[in-house]
Amino acid sequence: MTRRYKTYEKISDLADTEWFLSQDAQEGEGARLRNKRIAAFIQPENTDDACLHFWLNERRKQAGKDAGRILAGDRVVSLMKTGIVLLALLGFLAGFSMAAGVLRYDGLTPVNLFHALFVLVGLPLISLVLTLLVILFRNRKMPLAYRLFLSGFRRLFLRVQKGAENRMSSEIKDLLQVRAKNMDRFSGRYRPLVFSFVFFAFQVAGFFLVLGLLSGFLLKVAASDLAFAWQSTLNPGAEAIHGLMTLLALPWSWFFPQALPDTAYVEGSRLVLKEGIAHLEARHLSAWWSFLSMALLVYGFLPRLFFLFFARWRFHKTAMETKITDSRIHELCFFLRRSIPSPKKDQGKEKPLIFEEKISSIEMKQEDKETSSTMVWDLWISDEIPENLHGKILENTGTAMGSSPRSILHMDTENLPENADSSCSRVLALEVFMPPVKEDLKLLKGMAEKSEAPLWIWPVGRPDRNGGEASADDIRIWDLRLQGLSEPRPVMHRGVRHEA
Amino acid sequence: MKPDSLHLEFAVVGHPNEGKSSVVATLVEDDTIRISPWPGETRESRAYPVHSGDTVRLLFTDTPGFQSPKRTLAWIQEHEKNLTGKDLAGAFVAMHGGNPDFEDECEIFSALSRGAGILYVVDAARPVRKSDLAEMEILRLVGLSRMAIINPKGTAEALEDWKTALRKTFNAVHVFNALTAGFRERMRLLSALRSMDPDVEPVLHPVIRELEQDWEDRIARSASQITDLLYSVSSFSLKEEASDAKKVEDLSRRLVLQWQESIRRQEEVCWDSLRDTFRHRFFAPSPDVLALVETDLLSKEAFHMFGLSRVQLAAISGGAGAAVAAGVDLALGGAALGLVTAAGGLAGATWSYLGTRSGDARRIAGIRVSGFEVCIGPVRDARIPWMVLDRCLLLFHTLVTRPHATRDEEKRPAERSLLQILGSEERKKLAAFFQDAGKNKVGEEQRREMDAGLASVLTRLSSGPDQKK
Repeated sequence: MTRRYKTYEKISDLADTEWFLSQDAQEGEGARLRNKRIAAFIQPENTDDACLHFWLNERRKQAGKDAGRILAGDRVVSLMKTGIVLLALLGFLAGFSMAAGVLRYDGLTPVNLFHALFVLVGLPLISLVLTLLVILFRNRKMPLAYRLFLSGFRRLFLRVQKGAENRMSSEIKDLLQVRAKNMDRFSGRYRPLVFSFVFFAFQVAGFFLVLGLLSGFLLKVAASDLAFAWQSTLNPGAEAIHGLMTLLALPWSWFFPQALPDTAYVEGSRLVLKEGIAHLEARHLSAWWSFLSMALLVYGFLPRLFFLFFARWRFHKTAMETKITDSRIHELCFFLRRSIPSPKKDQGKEKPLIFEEKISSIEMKQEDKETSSTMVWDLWISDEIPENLHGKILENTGTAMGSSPRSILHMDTENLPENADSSCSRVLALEVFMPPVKEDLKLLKGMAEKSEAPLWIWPVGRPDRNGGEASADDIRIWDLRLQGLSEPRPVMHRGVRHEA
Repeated sequence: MKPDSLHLEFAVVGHPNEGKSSVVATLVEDDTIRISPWPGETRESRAYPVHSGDTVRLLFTDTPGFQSPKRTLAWIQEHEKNLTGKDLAGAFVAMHGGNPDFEDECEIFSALSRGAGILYVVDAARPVRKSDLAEMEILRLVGLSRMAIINPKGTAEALEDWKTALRKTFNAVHVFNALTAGFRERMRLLSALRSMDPDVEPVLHPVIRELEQDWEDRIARSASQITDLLYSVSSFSLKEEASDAKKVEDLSRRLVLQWQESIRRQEEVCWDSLRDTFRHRFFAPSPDVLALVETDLLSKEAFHMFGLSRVQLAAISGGAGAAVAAGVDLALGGAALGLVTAAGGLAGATWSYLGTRSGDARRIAGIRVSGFEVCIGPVRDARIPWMVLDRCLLLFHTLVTRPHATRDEEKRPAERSLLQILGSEERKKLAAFFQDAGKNKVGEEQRREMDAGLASVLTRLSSGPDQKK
């Protein structure tokens, strides 16, 4: 119960976070002020995860969760639960009606044993095999023909896409690329979760199908007069049928031998239509129910139960593993932590260490990392930025980040320091008056990938205009191109705009 | 376009968003080329022809910007010892075709693999950066004839730095603002292309002469189109008979409207042909020009905006009256002490001044009714042909001074009247032409003189509106 609660709670968290993040992206300034108010209540020693959790709960409160308003997460969860209940109901009804349909005896024609075996054992077994195939071959390579078809379809799609792109303006193209990338990220993040949920839902349906079959079977056995007989055009001997049944009954025959009819019973329940059932003994005809119920239990119910638990565990695991760790979260956490009022903020204006060659020579003390409420970060300045702008960049970035940088590196962007501390946030001051080319983006993407902490781009404009302040158009061009990269990616620093 | 009839191809290359497409659009006079302040508008190489009449003389290939200059340079440095020129460019395309990282470079090098001369476009408003140096080095190592074009987008703070950097790599460096360049600047740039390569000179020289001749032809054609319009506006008349006396008034009204519509249509046809002549397919004039050009020719506002004022017209007519009366004075041997000349001038001026008193459409059109017959035109108000001429000059000026790279609305204010550039002799000749046209008495000689006179006015105008004779 607790586990289920946790799974759906996590899904609700994910849905609400996505919903609130998309709201924030649309609202802009309003969202910034709201987040600033939330940050005022966050404890400085909190981690990013804790900040995010606090923010989510506050947003929920503001959105009216306490007042009973249904939020996006609640809707998603109730939709999922409703889906599961409906599938379970559908499965049960299907199983029950199938059992009721196949188990009909009017006193003249007994239930065909092979038909009953196919419905009660064959169908659950087939569905089990399909489930196993899905589990085993889900991540395997597709067959060649399928891959060829997909490749042809992809080529056609790319050609159409290129034709369409050539007809649209470059700005629209960039915007669409950002949207497509966002969708890719979204589907990439939630695909495993969606798959595991669908898998779980189908296991629920399968389990209730078998439960329906078993219930229907037992009800029919208990509340009506059933007779089972076997028949075949091939006219096999009773020994052959008995051998087959013994094989099927292997899992339970050692502890429940009564549920395996012997040769005399098998012979006694053979039906020849021309002769009718008058000469057959009633005890032979009705004895098959225990065999059938054990077969249903062993080949249907128990494996389904196992798969149900497996799917439930997998669904829970996937839900717990799903995290939103993209640049939106980096930005939000940065902003929350940056906005936390800290009494030390004004006191601790340490002089940053300026050096040119190596970054590894400075090691941050572990206790500092744990106790400091301000963000630890390095400032990297592109060597193409004139030196007369360095002071201003240091001042502006320091104000935006809420603390002085741990170190400053005047670097050639082509040569990323190999020994840089990958766990420390970085602000890279770059000139943005020239549009980013593929080479720049690839380099920045590589830098972001090598780092566990966020990589911020601090935009710098022309040295001779507005004291090196980047123009809004240039920032927008860079921002859109950066958003078009896959995660992890560098993020355009919005510190200046936030402070404005 | 037959490929073998082409002589020269130039590939316009550079960093993204430096104004390559703008340079091409202005050079080839093509306002259909996609230009945007957002980088990455050009995704494929495309050759645009420069026409002389109907013949293609030059090709300018617009290319996307370099996207991986440093990696491209590394490849070129590795292979330039074995290959050079268009072979090196071809090898690059063969090696990197299909690689999305070098998609744009392949587009650039595909033009270079045809042996195209290189026109490297830079924006002098920003400083020189490492990627620019890498691009310059690539183009140097490719070894094809090359020239740098500094396109100062708005400002040119770093012009001298750019010149210094470019001179190390390029045979010639030329400043060319694609958003302000007129015909003379275009010709100067084309002439500068001769310095790229000694082999280019003999081919390019006649082409430039042809293009200059083509420009003169276009001006002459425009002058002829405007003369046609002025003649038809001055001489156009309509005549129709009413079935009975009661319908004369209705007929008069209808004919006035018909006459006005016809004058407007003639003006529209002339404007369209002027646009075609100067290859402006998407003409988007400034709001000022738009307000002027879209003002109805026969509206009251138009009388205030265009043409000559009543006083100016009276001065011209007074001069004409005085000239006629001076003949009488001469015949009297000076006995009248020049009084006849003075009286003639005064009479001419008064007649003209009073004759242009009202903006009433019926009066302007010069309506006459005799019995049941209604006759309208030729135009009675002497201001009308001057207004038509003024509007044509205004449109012509906008067309010839507006580069084909311009996509947004013009910022500069429109000239209110361009008749100021006419000398007094030209005004007299024009007044005489309008008068003779109204009487259908324009001879071949006068017509030719008029064409030549207007061509001279248009030539002055194409060099700037202040070029008074």
